Amino acid sequence: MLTCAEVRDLAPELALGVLGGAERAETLAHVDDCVQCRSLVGELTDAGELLPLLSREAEPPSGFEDRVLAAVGGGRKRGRLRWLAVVAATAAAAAIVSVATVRVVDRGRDDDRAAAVSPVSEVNSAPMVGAGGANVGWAFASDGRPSAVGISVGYVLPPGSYTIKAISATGATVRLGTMQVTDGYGVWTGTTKASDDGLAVISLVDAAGREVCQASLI
Amino acid sequence: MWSVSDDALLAGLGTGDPEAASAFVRRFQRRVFGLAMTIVGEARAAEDVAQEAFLRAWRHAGAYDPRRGTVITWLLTITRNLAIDSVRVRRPLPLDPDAILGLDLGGRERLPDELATLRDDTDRLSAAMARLPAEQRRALVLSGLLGLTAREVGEREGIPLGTAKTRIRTGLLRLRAALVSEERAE
Ligand SMILES: [Zn+2]
Repeated sequence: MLTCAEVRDLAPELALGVLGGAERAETLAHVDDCVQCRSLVGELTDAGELLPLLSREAEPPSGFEDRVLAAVGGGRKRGRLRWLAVVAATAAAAAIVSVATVRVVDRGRDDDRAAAVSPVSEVNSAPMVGAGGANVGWAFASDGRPSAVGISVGYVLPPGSYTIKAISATGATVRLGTMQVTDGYGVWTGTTKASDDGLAVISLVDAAGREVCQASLI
Repeated sequence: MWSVSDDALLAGLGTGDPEAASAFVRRFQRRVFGLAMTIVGEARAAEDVAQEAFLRAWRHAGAYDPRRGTVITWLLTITRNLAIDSVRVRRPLPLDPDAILGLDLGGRERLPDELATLRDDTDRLSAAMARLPAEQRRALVLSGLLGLTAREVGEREGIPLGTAKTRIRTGLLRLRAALVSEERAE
């Protein structure tokens, strides 16, 4: 077991990710048990992780984006989730219900950089976390009242009908609707007047009443 | 107006959505490839590193924790670790560390809101770096950016191991102190 002094000596290298093998394992074991050293490593890591931001930008070779997208698309069914469509639907619903103008902007495209519109409305996103901490999908909710909600799940949920439950920041529970999952995929968009102060949690409950996944939005 | 946040784009990438993946890659590819080039020093190898970084971001999007840092620092940490691993065996001589910090912030195109915030962070960071003594700044670049151990920093700089460790630790602590005090001042 390393002493605190030895760990303080190694902490900067641990924080910068350059500590190898045995030293790294021993230092991590100490840090697990020692509050002071953990806090030191945490602070050094916070600073160290910013250093790569200082690197110059550079234009990748032509075709880079296509090659990455081919690799991503090749690993999973394409086009089933239409994630951006869910976000867009959520944003559109937010615009309708709150009279705020909401726009989904892909900032990477010049032609989307039209004039700014107001007032502001925000759409929050959070992962839907299932058993064992697995990420099974995503939930989106706009601020304001009513709130627009979008949910997409794209992983391992068994097929069937799921009840969508929402809990407001003040703890009130409301049933938003039902979502069908087919083939491990499901999408739902809608609105709720449940909350004055925003939605805190959105969860899916299966036919047996078990909560299978939830997203924490605040 | 609502724009797709970095977090939401990563969320979309994680679900394998082609539109989200495309927007994510376009938003970050110059930074990811630039960092890979800085560390690897060769375009072909840097492209491999950058591509693998995006694939890992896609596979592990669910592991991203916004409480622990921004999407860009998360993505650049992945990139940096991959790049360092790829040159671990036969490391080329690193460039002049100070030359790596030749930030070219003014030349960028109009920036999205998130990147504008990021630029503030980067500006504060580079200002804090500029105030460090040159030898501490070099030690941080060699270790934190290029992945050299304290022993390797010592060899490259021609200084004892203990001195290399002190430079890295002191530089990192000063950087941390500078960033925290500026946060408080806001
Ligand atoms: Zn300790």
